[in-house]
Amino acid sequence: MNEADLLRLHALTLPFGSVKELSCTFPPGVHLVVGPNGVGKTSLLRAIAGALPSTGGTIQLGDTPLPKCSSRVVLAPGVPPAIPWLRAGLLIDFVLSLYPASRRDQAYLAQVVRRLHLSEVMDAPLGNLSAGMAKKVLLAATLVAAPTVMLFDEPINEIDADSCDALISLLADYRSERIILVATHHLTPFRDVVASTLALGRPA
Amino acid sequence: MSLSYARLRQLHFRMSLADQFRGMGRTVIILLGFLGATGLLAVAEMLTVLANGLMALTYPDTAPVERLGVVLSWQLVTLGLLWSLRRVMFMQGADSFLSVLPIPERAVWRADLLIAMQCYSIMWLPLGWLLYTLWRRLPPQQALLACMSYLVMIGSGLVLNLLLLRGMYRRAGMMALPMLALMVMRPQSAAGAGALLGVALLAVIAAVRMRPARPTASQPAGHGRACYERMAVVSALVLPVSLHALRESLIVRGASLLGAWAMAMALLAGRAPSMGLATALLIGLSAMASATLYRLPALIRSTVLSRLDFLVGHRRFRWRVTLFAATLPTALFTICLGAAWATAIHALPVGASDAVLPFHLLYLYAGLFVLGALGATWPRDVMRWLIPAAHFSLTLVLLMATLT
Repeated sequence: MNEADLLRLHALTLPFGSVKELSCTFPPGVHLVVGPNGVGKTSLLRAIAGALPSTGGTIQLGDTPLPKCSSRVVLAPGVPPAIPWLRAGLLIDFVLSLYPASRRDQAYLAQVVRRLHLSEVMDAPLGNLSAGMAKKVLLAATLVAAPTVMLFDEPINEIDADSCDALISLLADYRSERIILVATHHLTPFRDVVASTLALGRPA
Repeated sequence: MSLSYARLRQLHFRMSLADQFRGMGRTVIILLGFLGATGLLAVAEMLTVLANGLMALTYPDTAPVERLGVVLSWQLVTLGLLWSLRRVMFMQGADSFLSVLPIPERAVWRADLLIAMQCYSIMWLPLGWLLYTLWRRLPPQQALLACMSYLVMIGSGLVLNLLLLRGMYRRAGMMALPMLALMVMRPQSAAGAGALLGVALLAVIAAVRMRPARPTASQPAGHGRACYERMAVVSALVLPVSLHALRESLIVRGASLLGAWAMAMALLAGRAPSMGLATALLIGLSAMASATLYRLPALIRSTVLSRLDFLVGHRRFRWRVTLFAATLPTALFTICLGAAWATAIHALPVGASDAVLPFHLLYLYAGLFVLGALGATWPRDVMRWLIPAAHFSLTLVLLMATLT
């Protein structure tokens, strides 16, 4: 395995939740992050994405600290952003514009949009979409941006069974070459693709 | 007992105001004690100026620019008043719940109008004085026509304000038309009153018949939309976030700048050109531009970053947001400085060269704008008053030096 492909957390401590002195390494593959509410799953993903400063420790992709290669990480948040007037297609275009080196072509975008049943809503503002549809817009943007590290926060909450199957199938295509972290409470749908599980818990 | 929608809004309005001002009674009394007669005089002076301004519309020798200034001033003052009370007035906290109830649009409008009339509060004083004075000074027939014209103007202005605050800009555009009639016609003349009433009626009919804009059509269509979306992506969504999330803030800042410019126009029309007037206008307009716009870069940046917080870790995203959040207000500020310079040139005596105007003032206010923009990004409370105080004191000193 190439050392440059590893995501390393060293003695990571976060301001929220109970992540203290966490050290682990993630190779390419699908890794689940599980644990009770408020334990720090979302905070961990946000820290890896650079959206939440850690209070201690380091995050490295290969030998490079992650803040220096932020264009190699993308986060699909659990809650859609508060921009209800923005067209779904425009949000996807914008996210893709931030990942010129890794983003996939238009044919792949069309495929993802079709498989997640988003074709009808690409011209609609996010505020007009249901919670599940808005979530799928963010998932589509993340899947097509496709940088080295892809983070998904509660990706299958709110989405229908068909879309859930499609998402897991799309993730499976990436598992040999991308590091995929999924924070979730639902382990069963991922059982065929998961490489490891990081269980976060409260200190006794 | 059943509770009508209008009654619910009324109750909410009263209770919210009571809640907001709870405990402030003592503060207000202490403040009034300090201000004393001076404070009361200042409020009375403002009301008298407004009343006299409205009265000036009946004079035959009032220039169109002054008429424009009076109508704009009234509209801006009342819009500012309603804007400051908008959350209480429109019961915005309950919007998401009420939007799913089958409340007729007519009931919403009736409640809006009733509460907006209450929000005008002391603004009715100059109007009362105006109507009383009209009956004393003009022959009965002219007084009747003038009163009718003013009531139509105030009513149209009220509806215009509500439409603006409700975000119905196309309808608001229609309701601005009656205001234009007052720019050219005297309210006590039969032609003026007739024109005003006719235009107001047509505007109301057009506004009522106008189909509301669909939510999905909130962005420009066709080639315009493609262009807008390209700019939105290039600007790291700074453009759409500013236009939507900061719309009210931008409207108020724009209205303040327009109000300052209208006042400058009124001064230009009412006073003889002189070096002192030109310099004072340059100082006043530059100060207004800097004081109004210096916080915008920090405001836009923080709004975009908080709305798209999942991308905050991306360095190129942060860099682009910072760049465009600074670029747009700076461009606007530069335009305002240009407009201030052009206005000051018009206030120079005939034959005077614009080289006599102190160009360094523009550098001074540009420096203050940059300092303010940088200071607004510091999370220190001291910056909340330091930069406004710097604007105020510098402008006061410069104006005193110029006018003495």
